Amino acid sequence: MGGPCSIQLYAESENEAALHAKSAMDEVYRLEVKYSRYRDDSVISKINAASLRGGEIKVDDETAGILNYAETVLHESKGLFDVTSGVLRKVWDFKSGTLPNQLSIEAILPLVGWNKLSWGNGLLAFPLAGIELDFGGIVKEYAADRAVAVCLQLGVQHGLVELGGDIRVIGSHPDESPWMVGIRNPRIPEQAIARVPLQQGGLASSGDYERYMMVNGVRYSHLLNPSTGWPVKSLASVTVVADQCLIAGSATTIAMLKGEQGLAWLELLGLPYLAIDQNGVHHGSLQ
Amino acid sequence: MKTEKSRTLSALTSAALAIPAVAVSTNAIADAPPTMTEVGYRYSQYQEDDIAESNKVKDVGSTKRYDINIHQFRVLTPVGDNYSVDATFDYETMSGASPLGTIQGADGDPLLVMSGASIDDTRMDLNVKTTRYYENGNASIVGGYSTEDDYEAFNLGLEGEKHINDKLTTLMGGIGYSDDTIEPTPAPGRVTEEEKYTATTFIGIAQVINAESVLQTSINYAYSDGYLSDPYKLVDQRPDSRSSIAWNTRYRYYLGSLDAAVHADYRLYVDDWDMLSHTIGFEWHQNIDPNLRVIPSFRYYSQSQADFYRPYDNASIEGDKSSDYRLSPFGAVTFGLSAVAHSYNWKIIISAERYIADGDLALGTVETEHPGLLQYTLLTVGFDYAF
Amino acid sequence: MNHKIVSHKVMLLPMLLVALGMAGCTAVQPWERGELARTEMKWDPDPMKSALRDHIYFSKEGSSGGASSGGGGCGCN
Repeated sequence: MGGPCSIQLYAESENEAALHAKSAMDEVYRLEVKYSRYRDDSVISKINAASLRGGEIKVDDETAGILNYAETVLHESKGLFDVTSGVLRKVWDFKSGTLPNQLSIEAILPLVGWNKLSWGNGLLAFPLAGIELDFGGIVKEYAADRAVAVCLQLGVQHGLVELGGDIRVIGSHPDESPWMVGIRNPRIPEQAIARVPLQQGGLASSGDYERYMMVNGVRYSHLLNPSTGWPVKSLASVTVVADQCLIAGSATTIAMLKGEQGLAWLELLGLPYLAIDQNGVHHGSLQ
Repeated sequence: MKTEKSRTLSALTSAALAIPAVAVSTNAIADAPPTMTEVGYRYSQYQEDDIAESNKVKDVGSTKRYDINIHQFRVLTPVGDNYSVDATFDYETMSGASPLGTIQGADGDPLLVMSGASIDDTRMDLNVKTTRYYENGNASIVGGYSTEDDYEAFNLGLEGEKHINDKLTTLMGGIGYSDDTIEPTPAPGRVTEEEKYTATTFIGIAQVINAESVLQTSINYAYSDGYLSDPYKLVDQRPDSRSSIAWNTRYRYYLGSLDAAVHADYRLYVDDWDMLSHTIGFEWHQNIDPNLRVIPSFRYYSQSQADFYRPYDNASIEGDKSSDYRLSPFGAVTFGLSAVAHSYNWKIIISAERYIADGDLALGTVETEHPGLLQYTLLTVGFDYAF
Repeated sequence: MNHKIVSHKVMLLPMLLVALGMAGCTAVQPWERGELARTEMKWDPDPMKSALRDHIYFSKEGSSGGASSGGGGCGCN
C-alpha cells in the first residue's frame, strides 16, 4: 500500500480489538491483492492481459463499481484524472534523475486515454491493444473506506484507519474528542506543518513530494498530464477532508493535476481543504 | 461553508456510494447467516427404461418401470442476526410396475415377476433445518416428516461445525434418529403394519490445503432395527437389524488458468449384511463467462451382494433371503450435464443425467446379473432467487 | 455363486490421498481465500440437486450414508 498502515480502534477487550483490527486489515489486503499490478492473478493483471490481446473482459460487480467511479472522476476532472495514464510510468523513471526522451513520451502517449477503451454493461473492451489500467489513485483510498465499513459492521464505534497518509475515521475517541491528524510539510515531509482535528469522515493528501526527481533545480513530480505526458506544475500539496476517503483522495489528485486552476477548483468543490503553493503560502479553510 | 453540495461533489459522491458493498467474509470463510432470503424450485422428471421382455416372466405383469415427477421447493432465510432456517418440501408423484420377485427361467436365467401396470403413489417430504451461528462455528437442529400412501417417517437430528486453526480446519459431527412405519396395501400373507428405527452418527474434518483446494473426510455410522424387509416382494425376509459404516472423502480444486472447479468424491460403504460398495464421483464446474457455468459429471458405483441375497426366489429355504436387485452385485455409471445461468441474485439450472446399471460394470466378477438392474434418465429444470 | 468385491488396493488409495492432502497444507491467509469462497468450490453448490440424487441412489442402490444427520427413508420400490 506504499506507506505505513495502521488501524487504531477501541473495543471491549484487547482480544476483541485485535480480532476486529485483523478483519479490517484482511479487507485491505484483499483489495491490495485483487488490484495489485505485481500479481499475475490480480483482476488488474487480467484486465491488462486482455488489453494486450486487444480483447475484452467481463468484470465483477466491485470492479465495475470502481470503473464507473473512475469514469466519473475522469469526467469531473475534465480528462485529467485518467486511469489509463499508468502506462506513462514506463517512460518516467523518477529514481534515475534523467528526463525521458520526448520521442519516447510521444511513442507511448497514443496508449493513454479512457476514450480509447470501451466500458459498459460489465464489459471492458480494448479495441486498441496495450492500454494499461492503473487503479493507483483509487484503490488505497477505497480500501481505507472499506476497512472502516468492516469495523462498523463489527460494531466498532471508535477508531481510525490510516493507509499511508489516506485516513478514514471509524468514530471519534470514546470521550468524543476528535483524532488529531498531522499534515505533512511538503518540503520537510517528515514534519507536520499543521494538525487537523477529524471527528468523522476521511482525509487524503497529494503532493509533489511523494514521487519526484530534481533535474537542473526543477522539480518533476509523479502527477502526469495524460494529454502531454509531462508532470503538471502546480501546488506543493493539497489536503482535503470528505465523508469518504475515496472522494478526499480523488479531490486532492484532481486539484494537483489542475495545476494553476487547482485552487479555484477546490473552492468550487466546497470541501474543507488545505493547499500549500510553491511559495509556501497556505490556502483553504483547513487551518 | 457552502450549504449545498457542489455539482462535482454530488457526482463523485453518488459514484463512490454506488460501488457495491461487497459481502466480504470477515476472517476467511465466515460463519454467518446468509445475507439474503433465497427461494428455489426444481422440477425433475425421472424415467426408468422398460424391462426387456426377455427378462421377465411371459404374460405376467408389465414391462413398464417407474416414472416419477418431482417438485422440490426450498426456502433459506436468515432469522435475526444469528440464525437461519432452511426448509425444503418435496412433492413426488410416481407410477410404474415393480419386480415382485425373481424365478429361474427354463434356460436357467433369472426372470422377473413383474407387478401389474401401475402403482400410483404420491410422496411428500418436509425437512426443516434451523442453524445458530457462532464466531467459530454453527449448530443445527434438523427435523423432517415424510409420507407416502403406505409409509410414514419422522426424523430428527443435531449437527454442528467448529472452525479452528484460523478457520483453515473445520471439525464436524452430528447424530440423527428416524422412525419409519410401513402399512403396505393389504394382501393375503402380507404384514399389516411394521416399524423400523434408525440411529445415525457422523464425524468429519475439512481442511483448507492451499488457496485453490480443500479436502474433507468423514465417517458415518448407521444402525437400523425393526422391519427391514420389502413387504411387496413374494419371497423376502431380511435380518431385523443392519449396521453400516460409510467413509466419505471430498476434494475441491480451483483451476485458475481455466476458471474451472474440479470436484472429486469417494465413498466406501460396508455393512453387516456383508455388502461393500465404492462410489466415485467427478464434476467439472466450468465457467464460460461470469454468468454461465457448465458442469459435466460422472459417477461410478459398484456394490457387492448382501450375504442372504439369492438370484432366484425359493420360499422353502430357511432363514433370510431376498432377490431384490438392490442387494445384488452390480456396477453403475451415471453421465450428467448441467448448465447454470446466474447473476448475483438469481440462478437458472437445467440438467440431464443418464444412469446405467450392469453386472459387467461391477469391480468383482458377477456370474449372474440380476434382470432387474436399472437404467434411467433424469431431467431437471429449476431456478433460485434471492432477495 | 456371485463373488464379493476384492478391494484392499482400492481402499488404500483414498487413505493415502487424505494423508497427502493434510500433509501439504499451507497457511492460507484470509485475504487469499477468495477462490475458495466461489459457489462452484463449495462442498455442495446445489443442495436441492444433491438431495434429489441422494434420495434416488438410496432408493435404487444398496448403500447409504453421507456427512449429515440423515433424512427419513422411504418405502421405495
